[in-house]
Amino acid sequence: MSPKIPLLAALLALVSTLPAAAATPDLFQVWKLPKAIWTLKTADGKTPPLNAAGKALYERRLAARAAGKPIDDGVMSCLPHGYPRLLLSPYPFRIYQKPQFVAFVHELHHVHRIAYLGEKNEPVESLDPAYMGYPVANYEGDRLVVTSNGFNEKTTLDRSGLPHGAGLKLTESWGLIDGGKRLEAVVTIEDAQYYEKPWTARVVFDKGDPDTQFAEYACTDTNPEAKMK
Amino acid sequence: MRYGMTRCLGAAIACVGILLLQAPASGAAEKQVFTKSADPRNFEGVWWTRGYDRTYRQLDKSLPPFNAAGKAEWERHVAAEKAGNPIGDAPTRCYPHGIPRMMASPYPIQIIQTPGLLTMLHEVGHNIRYIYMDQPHPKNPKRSFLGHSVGHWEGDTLVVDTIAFNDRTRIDEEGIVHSLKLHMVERFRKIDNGNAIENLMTIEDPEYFTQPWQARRTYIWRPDVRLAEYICEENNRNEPDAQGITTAK
Repeated sequence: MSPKIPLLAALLALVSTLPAAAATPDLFQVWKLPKAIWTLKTADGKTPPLNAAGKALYERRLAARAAGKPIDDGVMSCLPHGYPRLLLSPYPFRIYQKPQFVAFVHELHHVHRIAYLGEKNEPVESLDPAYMGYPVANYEGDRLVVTSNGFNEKTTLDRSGLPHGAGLKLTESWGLIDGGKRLEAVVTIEDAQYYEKPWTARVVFDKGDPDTQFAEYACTDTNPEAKMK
Repeated sequence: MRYGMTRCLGAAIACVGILLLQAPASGAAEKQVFTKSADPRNFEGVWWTRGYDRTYRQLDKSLPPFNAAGKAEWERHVAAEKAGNPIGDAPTRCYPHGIPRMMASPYPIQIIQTPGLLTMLHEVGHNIRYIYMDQPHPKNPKRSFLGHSVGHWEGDTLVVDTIAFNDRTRIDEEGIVHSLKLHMVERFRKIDNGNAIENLMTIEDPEYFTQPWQARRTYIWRPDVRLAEYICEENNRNEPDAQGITTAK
């Protein structure tokens, strides 16, 4: 018997007693949505589980847009998209990863979203309502999980007008799929004001050229997104 | 975690470190997460402009070396403001402010350094500056509000060269204007034992100045600060009218 085998066995024994550690996902990259998502569906392709209040508001918005006079859409006046809507337009973004934080930095409307690592969401009552809410980030195994609360009521979840209230809790689970070629965001919406129960959507991004130089996006009243079909 | 494991296999003593997990913050006050780096080329963290001066002046505090056109434009702007009808510019319309205008803005900046790229996240208007490191400008860069910036190190000074500005911004809030010919060179370096970054700027625009001139701003290391959400478009009380005229309210 080779003298290496007992040594190998000893090493394996040592490794097996150490805490299991999944690799932190390497998400530092340029990511692009292949095609605009104007209407967010659940992960199994259905309309989200709106409650009565949610249905009423959503139908009002759909009707207004169908009539050519959209309501409740601040994006057309260059107000922020908020999340997850900012992810649903086909403009590239970069994820930066540092020991202290993760940053999502977008070409669209030159938005930056910084989520500090290892922290907990504050109680909603203590937060000044914000368009993007207050994101905190944690790694869970090979996923980056960003949870946000403290939203104001001035955004919609998507371009079609899916509603949310100030009580929205947004959870995003980001991870690499397809052998690292694509990035998936599993997004969970919890908002009892407008939905019967929490629901999940899934958005997948392609890898872009890491040296991409983002264009400057100067939002105007005639901003490019307004013209997109 | 993976890094900790590698250390662990090397020496049993190092294993103790990875088992001492930091307890997460209780969720009350924000904890400070940035530590001042001794590396003079490490600019990472949050920095906040020292003071607020809405004018740019030369290093000896004199007005820039205007030619006749530059002087006339400056006087026109100063007079308009005195009359109660300041001439609005990019920030008034929530466009990116331009450089060096935005570098005087009294809002914090978070700097992130990654291979080949230095990114400045500005709180003001959630603007973003990209400094592409160690490479030339593209041949025909598209003009933009913030221009196209490339950077390289000269010793411990980061030299940033910016061209390809549009003509929809001005140099400062008071009334120094610039043309499409504007060329900016900024020299950033740590000072005060790493407690601040100095930006020594050279402003060159033969359309309005008889020669290049220099100005300075300083940004203070602020590990206690996190960028806040800044939404210019909301409740903008100084929206210019269709002719671009702002009436101070």
